[in-house]
Amino acid sequence: MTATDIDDIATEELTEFERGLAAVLLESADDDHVMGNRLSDWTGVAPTVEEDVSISNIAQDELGHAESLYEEVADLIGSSLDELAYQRPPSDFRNSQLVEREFKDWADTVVRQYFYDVADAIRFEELLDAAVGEYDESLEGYLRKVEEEEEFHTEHGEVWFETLAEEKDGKEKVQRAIDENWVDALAFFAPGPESVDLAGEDVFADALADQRETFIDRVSSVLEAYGYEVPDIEVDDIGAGRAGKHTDDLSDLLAETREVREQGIDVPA
Amino acid sequence: MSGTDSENVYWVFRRQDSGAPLTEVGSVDAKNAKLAKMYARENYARRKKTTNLVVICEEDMNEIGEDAAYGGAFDKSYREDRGYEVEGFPA
Repeated sequence: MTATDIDDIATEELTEFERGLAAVLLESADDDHVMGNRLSDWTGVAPTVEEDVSISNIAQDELGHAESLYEEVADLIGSSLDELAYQRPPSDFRNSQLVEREFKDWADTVVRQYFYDVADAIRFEELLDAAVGEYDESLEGYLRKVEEEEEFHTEHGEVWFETLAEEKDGKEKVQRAIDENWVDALAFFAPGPESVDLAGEDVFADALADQRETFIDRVSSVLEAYGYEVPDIEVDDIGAGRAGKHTDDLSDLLAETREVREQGIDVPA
Repeated sequence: MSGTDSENVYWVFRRQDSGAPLTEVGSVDAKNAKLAKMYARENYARRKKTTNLVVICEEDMNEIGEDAAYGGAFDKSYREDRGYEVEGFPA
């Protein structure tokens, strides 16, 4: 199964650069939409009241980013927020599998939230270092603000890595979560269904394979600082999520977000 | 917070503007100082102008307590410095 090509949902004629940019922004919006909803599973049941506020705040940020990113994509390709977030089938979603699965435990959450936010930060840096500013200044300004807000999210992960490393039990759980999520984290940097040369078109400053190396370097230095081991797994040709292949957890999550809407209840935004 | 060890209680103090005093605003329950700082920022600085926050572990606070005679045994109310309240600076 492959996600529908951008050109098939677009109602406007796109340049090669616009196709690439729209694809990347849609991946980003899908990631944020799914991660925001997934993280909000903790709202009300996080380890402490304070953590509840923290993790729910991150979830809310991601949902806010998703909303505006969908709007940017909708403007670019001639669609709507509603259509993109609520009317596409799960198989059309391009989010990485890293963000969709139900959380197993707190360590799994900490690791996936951290991996996602580091990867997301790299994606934004790569966009901002390329041609988006020349294409649309206000979009560039918006992306910069998102990047700024994300800084707090990576700090959240790092503080928890350190905290959980202090005890044997916590450390083992985090290490297990690192091992289990490593491949999915690397799959974040897999290409979507369109064959656009993103670096060549100057959508990204560097190719996805190089971004993946940046991710490995950045995450490794943090993991090693707290005594965790970086998995040594060579993977290529991964990235099922980007191409539209997902687990049932995604269908369940999306169904939940659409429940009210599908009952025909009109909730003004 | 009931049921929480005092080593996990961090009192939060906030400074609104540069030069203003640190004012106690509440507490957070946290496993260590780094988490406490993060939670303090989330809970006490998001909706109000803040230039600085300080967290202090309850264990590290040295209290003088209620047994001490604060201000002596005789009536010396003439020494009290009432009447100098400045906005933003609690007396």
